[in-house]
Amino acid sequence: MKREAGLRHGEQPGILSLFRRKAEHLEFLSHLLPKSRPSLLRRLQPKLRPSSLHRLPALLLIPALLLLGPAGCWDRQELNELGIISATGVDLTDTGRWEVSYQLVIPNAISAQGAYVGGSSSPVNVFTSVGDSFRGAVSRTTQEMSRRVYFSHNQVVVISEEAARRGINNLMEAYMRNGDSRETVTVLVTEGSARTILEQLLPMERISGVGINRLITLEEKYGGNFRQISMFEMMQDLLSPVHITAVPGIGLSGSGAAVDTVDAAKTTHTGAKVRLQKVAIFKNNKLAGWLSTHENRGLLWVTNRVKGSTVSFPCQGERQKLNSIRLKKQKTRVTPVRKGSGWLMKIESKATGVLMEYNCPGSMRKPQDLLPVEASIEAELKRDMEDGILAAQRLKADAAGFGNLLHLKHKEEWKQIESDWNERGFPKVEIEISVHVKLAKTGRSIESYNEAFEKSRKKE
Amino acid sequence: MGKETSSVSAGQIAIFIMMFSIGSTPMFQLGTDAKQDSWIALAAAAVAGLGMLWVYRTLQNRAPEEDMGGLLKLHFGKVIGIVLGVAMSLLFAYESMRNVRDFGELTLSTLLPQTPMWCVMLIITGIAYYTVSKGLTTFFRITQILLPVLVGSYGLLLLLLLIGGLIDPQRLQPVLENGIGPVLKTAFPDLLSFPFNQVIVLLVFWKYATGSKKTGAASYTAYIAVALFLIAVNAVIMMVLGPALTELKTLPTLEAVVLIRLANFIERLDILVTMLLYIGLYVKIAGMYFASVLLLRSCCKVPLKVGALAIAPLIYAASFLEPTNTYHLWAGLEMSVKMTPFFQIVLPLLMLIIGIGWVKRKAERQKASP
Repeated sequence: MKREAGLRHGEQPGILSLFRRKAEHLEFLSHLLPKSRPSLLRRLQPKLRPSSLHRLPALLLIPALLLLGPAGCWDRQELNELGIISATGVDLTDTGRWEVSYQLVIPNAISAQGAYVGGSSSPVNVFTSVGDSFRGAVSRTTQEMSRRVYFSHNQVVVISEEAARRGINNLMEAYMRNGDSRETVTVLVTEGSARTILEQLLPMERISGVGINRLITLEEKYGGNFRQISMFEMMQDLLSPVHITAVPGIGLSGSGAAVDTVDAAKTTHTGAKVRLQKVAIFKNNKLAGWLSTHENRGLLWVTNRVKGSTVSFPCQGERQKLNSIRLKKQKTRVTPVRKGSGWLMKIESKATGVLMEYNCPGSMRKPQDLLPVEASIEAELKRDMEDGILAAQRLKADAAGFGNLLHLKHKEEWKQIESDWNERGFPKVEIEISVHVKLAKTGRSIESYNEAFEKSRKKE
Repeated sequence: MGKETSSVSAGQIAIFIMMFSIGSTPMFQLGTDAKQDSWIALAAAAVAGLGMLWVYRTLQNRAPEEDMGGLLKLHFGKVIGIVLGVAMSLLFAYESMRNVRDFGELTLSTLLPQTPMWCVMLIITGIAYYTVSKGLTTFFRITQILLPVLVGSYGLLLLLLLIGGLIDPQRLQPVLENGIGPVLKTAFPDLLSFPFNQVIVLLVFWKYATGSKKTGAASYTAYIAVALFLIAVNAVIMMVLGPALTELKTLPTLEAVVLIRLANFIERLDILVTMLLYIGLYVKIAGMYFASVLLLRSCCKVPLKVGALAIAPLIYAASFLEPTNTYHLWAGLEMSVKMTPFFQIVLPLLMLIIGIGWVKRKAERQKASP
């Protein structure tokens, strides 16, 4: 009663008075407790004795624990305050500044059902900022974007040819120093404008940045013509003794208008298509030139980077590549041998495959029947490799990584030729290629349908 | 608690050696001056470190009941012994402070970039103080509990690096590209002082494990195991990143782990590494801090409680002295490794030589008539 009266008179219930009130309350209840357990009551009573030295640690821990709370808040990132970027494009302005484009994901549009038609609104929005430095350009996004750009989910970086020719060291630097931009991002080069690539929509994909990344992953796994390369792998290549790397190219192919509106999804076919094409060779951080898809495949074989590929090959003595084989296990070994003042590279390649399509005469009942087939596949692969190496030699860029081998195996000689290896040493390298293909399985047919057809016609 | 009477087992000492030596070591890629041969440099330093461990152990055997402070007094007399002991104690406090700062820098550069560093460092200093105030037994038990976490996680990371196909043994080649010279230059004295010779703190802790006869053997075994582990980690990081990038990055281990991408959802495991480094740093901070306080007690009879209360603010305040991270790293990996050899190598060797024979008898006499 007394307590309530006190409060009614406007007395602030301070922490001490609250404790005291609690104690009173407990005393009031004391008759309810059995007399034999007074210790319980004592324990419940708040201790207001001045703290002794041995309780100091615990007291010091309290502010430390309190600090744990705000520690999480300083670095909070609210989802509705972020602008998630799915792809980045790098162009160069006429005045030589970096023009960075961003493909911003619109969460509302991608949550809807359907292919890339998320209702009527576009699933992504592309915008651009300009700066002398990359992070400078990124910081300028706040002038036109209401959300803070967030790069952790960035899937691809597309570099325009112009920007690549100027040099990509600045881009590498920006990616290496900052934790928010991941160096595991896939890199691609385009002959046109990088922004245009970001603006395209892909069938079956709501976010085209994710789609492009899937495209290159799939191609590497089954096609064997391109190698997916991340920013980090690029750095590793460019910092290796030869300073050469190969980055897949991307471009628009097909006829008709670009697929940059959701209306394009209303037809069963699209005009322009995003397509992997050609391979950009970087030498000492600058774009040195382009290789064709076919040439790049040969180089991938030489550098032992093919995961799986389908190879078309002709019948013996013919030109048209009527047959296909799917190669799985592939292993290449290169041995450098001194030859005169230059080097001879002995390239030994082994592969195992399954026949996919075969239109040549003859059956494959006996092991020796396979030999001519294997020989023509081997010749095909050999030509691929030769073409790749010749193309790289034309560019004066050791994309075959021969210099790296010399560094490992002939370190003394390498020190002398290191400085002008790409310009002088590599173009003069001679090659000797031997390929061994094992036709492990011929599929479900023993002979070709053509053969069976011819036979049945002869019988008539 | 008052007098520290707790004792620890040989096994606990072994676990402490492992946890303490791992500490923050995987945070840095040591010996990058030797390029792809950094692991050889580390191995060379580890062998020399084993020799130093023998020196420390020999000193301890002269007077098993004494710690660093007592040994210094036995060898150099009371006055010089106390001066050297206090200096040593401050060195330990300094090392502890370095790790507090490491803790702050690591948190800010990985997990919480916006959080003020004073807050992060206050929390870890508070935790270390709490540990020390709870006594030696508690501290050694904590390291015991944390060991499986550390071992399991490092094992998992190694496995993921292997599965991810990131390890390329060719990056360690060519071995000894520029001869053995640069390798040895990297190893001594820098790599010997950090991380291997830091086991000198054992001279403070061994005394509490006199109950067990196996302490010496356990210490050697643990040291060899942890040295092999550190060399392996070093080599793995080099095989993932290659010499050029290893030199470029401030936190190479973190960088190597960031590259792990499996099945489209195992990504960005840097959080795991940060947590592992937290465990290592905690053991190191608390271990150094504890050693500092215990040494202060044995030299100047400062009670543990008072010592702990005095050193903690010192560590916390000193951790702000270095203005930038660059300065901090430079001071740690370049400067202090050139100064600590006096306490870690010169002083113990001096004690080893001047004390042959008579110190042991003196110690026994003292024990007989205290």
